[in-house]
Amino acid sequence: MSETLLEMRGLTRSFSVTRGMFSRAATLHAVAGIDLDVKRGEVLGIVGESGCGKSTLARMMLGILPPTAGTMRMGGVDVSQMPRRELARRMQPVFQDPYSSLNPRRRIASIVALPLEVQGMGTVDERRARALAVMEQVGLPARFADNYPNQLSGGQRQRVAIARALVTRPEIVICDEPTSALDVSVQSQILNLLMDLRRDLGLTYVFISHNLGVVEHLASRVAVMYLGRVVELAPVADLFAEPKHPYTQALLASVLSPEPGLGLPDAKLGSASPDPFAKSAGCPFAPRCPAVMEFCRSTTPPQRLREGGYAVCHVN
Amino acid sequence: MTDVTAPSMQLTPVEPLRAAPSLVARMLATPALVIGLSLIGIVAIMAFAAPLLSPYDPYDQDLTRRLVPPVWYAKGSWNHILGTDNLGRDYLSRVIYGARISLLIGVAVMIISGIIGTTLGLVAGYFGGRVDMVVNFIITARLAMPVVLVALAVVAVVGGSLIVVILTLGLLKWDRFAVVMRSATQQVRTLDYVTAAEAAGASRTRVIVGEILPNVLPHLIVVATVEAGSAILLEAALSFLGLGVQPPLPSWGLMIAEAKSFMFFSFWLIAIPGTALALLVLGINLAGDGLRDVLAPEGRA
Repeated sequence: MSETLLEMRGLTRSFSVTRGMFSRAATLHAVAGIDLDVKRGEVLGIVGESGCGKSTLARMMLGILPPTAGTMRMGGVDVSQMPRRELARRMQPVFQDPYSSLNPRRRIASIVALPLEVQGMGTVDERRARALAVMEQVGLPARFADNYPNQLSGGQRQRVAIARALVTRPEIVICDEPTSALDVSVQSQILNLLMDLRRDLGLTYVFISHNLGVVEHLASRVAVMYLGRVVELAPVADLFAEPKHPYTQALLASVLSPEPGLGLPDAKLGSASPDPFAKSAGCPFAPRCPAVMEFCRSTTPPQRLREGGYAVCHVN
Repeated sequence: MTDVTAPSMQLTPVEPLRAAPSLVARMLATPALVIGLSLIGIVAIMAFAAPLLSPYDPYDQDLTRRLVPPVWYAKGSWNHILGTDNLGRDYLSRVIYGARISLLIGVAVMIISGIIGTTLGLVAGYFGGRVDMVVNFIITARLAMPVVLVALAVVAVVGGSLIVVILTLGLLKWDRFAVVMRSATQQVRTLDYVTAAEAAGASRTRVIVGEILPNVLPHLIVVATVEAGSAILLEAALSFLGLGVQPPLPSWGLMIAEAKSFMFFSFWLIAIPGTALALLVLGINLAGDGLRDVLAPEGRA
């Protein structure tokens, strides 16, 4: 449980964004110096609002997007020195939208076998046999093998995407909002499937979501992201029982209640939205923080350690 | 002892998903495609089997039998079903041999411009950024040149021949391929299945050829057919202006050009190659539309 599988240090990705023809290009820090460890066998939840850099972080982990600064090590080896295919074999993604993550011109078996094909593993027949075996494992009958994705339902499509992710027997699966495009009734099936597979195959998940209920249910540790930074990291029970960072508190307060008539919860964040271009010496959350104090705006907040994690805040 | 559980225990057998209807079945269900392919097929048969089909040598002149009208005129005869031209050459034979020129021009120009334009468009759409800027500049520079004028100038300087016409048009008409492929690629590139292939470790070539190209193919086919039709028409226009295929080659455009001074008294000389040209281009465009419908995956259910 304690072996560190993935180790990110100061991982940063910035984009140069042109705002109009005559203004100078601005730098947007989508991910600004993230230190994060993923331990073997755990489910690391990553939560945060839209635009906080969750998906950019996922793309960097997958090696699709090279970081502008910082390093990532997998099992102690620097990923940038690792052959592209080795990383691909050991880490695979499951995307949010199963309607765009399956090539509409390939048959299901061919979609599932694609990573094997790319890796040059096995013969055509062996790849197909392996694809059918994984399909079986994720609850897809073999009769779907020669159908096209548009003949399948959303839940079935997501099972195909999961089968594709598992076909190379990866160690880590990066799940980028794997259920948010699905019907509620199908969501739980897919989540249970993911958990069963984790138990059976000893997988490690990085589970990106803005659905806190799902994260609470699945994750063993949770990292809360705000404007490209991790503002709080804690074991799941501690985080939900006793959130330290004001942003985490606001996130938890914003969870919709299933009770109708209670209305929308007030997260006490005001109406300001985060500005990814802002460069401030102080806490990036200060403009929206309900507990803001004067020096929050000028001084970088410290990382306050707690059991199994930390919160980056002056106040708590 | 009766087995009471038997009826309720029966499970309905699972119907296997109906396999997608075969490509041929879907093609036959599209009338535009059937008509278009038939028209192209007729012209293709004419082109390939020209020596077998044509009753006379298309170059054989017989000045004693000039301007014989087609068989449906009062003075027509079954010896020359479509009549003869001003030099006494059998018109049916010339139309049949002319199919070779038109089809060759259409296919060759489509292939040359298709390869140039598709490559540029895919590369620009996939890589974006600087590559896209460079390709866009090349496209814009090309669009600033009027095709007919440049083709006329090149042919006037280098001299008209079949090869020159094909190369000139092929090197000029790739712009639409590039523009359409570029925007189609940009759309497909952002989809998750492209990211999934990249995350599986696929090389750029594999991603472009294996994941993107099949999904922009419907657009490519439509552009290709439009461009083939337009290349055939341009060749006819160039030949009509005397700068394309040179006589005595039997090109449909050249036949129209040679017939223009006889337009009022021997109308068939212009009408027959004109009709052939129009039917071929119509067939190509119909086939393109039909193919796009058949190949679009959204329609499959």
